[in-house]
Amino acid sequence: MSSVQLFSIASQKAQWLTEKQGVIASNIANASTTGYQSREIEPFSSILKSQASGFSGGLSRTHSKHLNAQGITDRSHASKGTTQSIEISHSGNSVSIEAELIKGSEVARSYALNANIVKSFHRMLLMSVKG
Amino acid sequence: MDPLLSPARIAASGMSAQSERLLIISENIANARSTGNTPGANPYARKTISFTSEVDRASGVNLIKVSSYGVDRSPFKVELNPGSPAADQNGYVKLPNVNPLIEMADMRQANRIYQANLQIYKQSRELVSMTLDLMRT
Repeated sequence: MSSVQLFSIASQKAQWLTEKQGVIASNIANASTTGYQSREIEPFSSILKSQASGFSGGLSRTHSKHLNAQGITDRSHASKGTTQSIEISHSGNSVSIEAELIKGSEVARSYALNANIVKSFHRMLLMSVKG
Repeated sequence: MDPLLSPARIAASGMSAQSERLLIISENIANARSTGNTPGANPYARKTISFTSEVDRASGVNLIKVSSYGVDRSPFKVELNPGSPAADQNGYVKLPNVNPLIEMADMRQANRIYQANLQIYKQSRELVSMTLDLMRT
């Protein structure tokens, strides 16, 4: 059922957005820490891709007629990489507050979009159940 | 810990660090003309503060902590004022190495970072309320 998959993707997206918000918050909090390098979370598309490849692989089977164990993936996707931003101040700090705030408002916008999509699908499901 | 609340917590730690910085700045400005009490004594020395990013074990996020308070070792200014109790035998008084311009610039920066943290805090609160709104349909 496709709508159920939509809910799982939406919850994954929400999880990713909250992780992103956390990274942005720690970047801004450390805006005056000596030697702090700003960090960024890996994009959502690469997470979706890695999970898709995980689904096709699943558990290794010794026979092609054995059950295929799907859906056993853990959420080990919040790896954070360090990015090199343009502006590096004298103290070795590379946080640009404006860029982080822009990213933060982007997160808020996508979160609102995500929540509204879930809401409207929920309404559609309810409509079909109630008749 | 709830991942939606951890940004709020990080922002709160950032705000407390910046207010600590403001405290040091206000001390420096208040003591910009504080001389010693005995002849030839050293005046108030400018204080500095530095931060470090620290992983909080309970939630696994990068919080910010005050790493150390320091004293500015730059040379003191000297002024001729024979009437002062802190004047040495030649009539010179040592004044603190506080530059009000630098302190004001520092204060502005602390203000801006505080504002940015507050913005992030507001945004994470909005995210939480959006999630709660899902149940209201």
